[in-house]
Amino acid sequence: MMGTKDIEEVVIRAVADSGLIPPDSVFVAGDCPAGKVTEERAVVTVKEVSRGPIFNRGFAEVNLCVPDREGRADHGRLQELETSAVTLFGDDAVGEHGGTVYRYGLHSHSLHADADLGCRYVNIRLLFETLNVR
Amino acid sequence: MRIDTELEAFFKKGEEEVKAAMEEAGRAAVEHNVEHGDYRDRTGNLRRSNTYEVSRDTLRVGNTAPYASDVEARGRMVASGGALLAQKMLEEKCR
Repeated sequence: MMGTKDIEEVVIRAVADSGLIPPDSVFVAGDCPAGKVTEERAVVTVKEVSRGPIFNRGFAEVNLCVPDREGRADHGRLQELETSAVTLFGDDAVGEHGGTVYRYGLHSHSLHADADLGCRYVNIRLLFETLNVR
Repeated sequence: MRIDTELEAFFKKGEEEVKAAMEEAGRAAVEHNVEHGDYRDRTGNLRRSNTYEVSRDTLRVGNTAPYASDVEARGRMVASGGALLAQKMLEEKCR
C-alpha cells in the first residue's frame, strides 16, 4: 500500500525530472528555505489519502513559485510554467511503486499570490490513485 | 398497466434513488470538511462556507468563501477531503 510519503516521493521525482524547476529547488511543504522566495521553486504537499473499494485516492498539490520582480508578478514566466505544467500532467501517468500500481493526473490548476513570501505561484492539483485490489 | 407506464415509473424510481444517494454523500462530505478542515479559524466563515449541490446527475462539493481556493492551494484541506469521501460513498453504492 502506498502512503503519503510514497506518493510524495513519486510526485517529487516527476517534478524534478520534468525540467520545469531545477531539481534542487523542489521541496516538500514545511521543508523549504525560510524567508522570501528569491529563486523559482516547487513545493509539494500530499494531503490525506482516502481508502476506497478499488482505489485509494488523495490529492497532491504542486506549487510552482516565481519570485515577484520589484513587487510585481512575472506574468510571462507564470504563464509559461502553467502551460508547461498543464501539458506535462494533462495525461494520466501510470506506474508502480513498491508493488502497488498507481496513476495520477491533473485535477485542476490555478494562480495565487503570497505577499509574505514575495511570490506568485501556479498551483497544480493532482489526483493520485493507488490500486487497492490484487 | 401499460409497459411504458411501468418503465417510466421504474426509471423515475431509479433517478430518485440516485438523487437520494448523492444528497447523502453531499451531506457527509460537508460534515467531513467542517470537522476535518485543518486550517485555523479566525471568523469561522471558511468552515461555515462548506457546501454541496446536487443537480440531475452531478454532485458538486466545495466551499463558497472566495479565499477557499487560496487556503487549499497552500496545503490545507478545505473541501478536497469531503469530495473524495463523497466519491468513495457513491462508488460503494454502485457496487
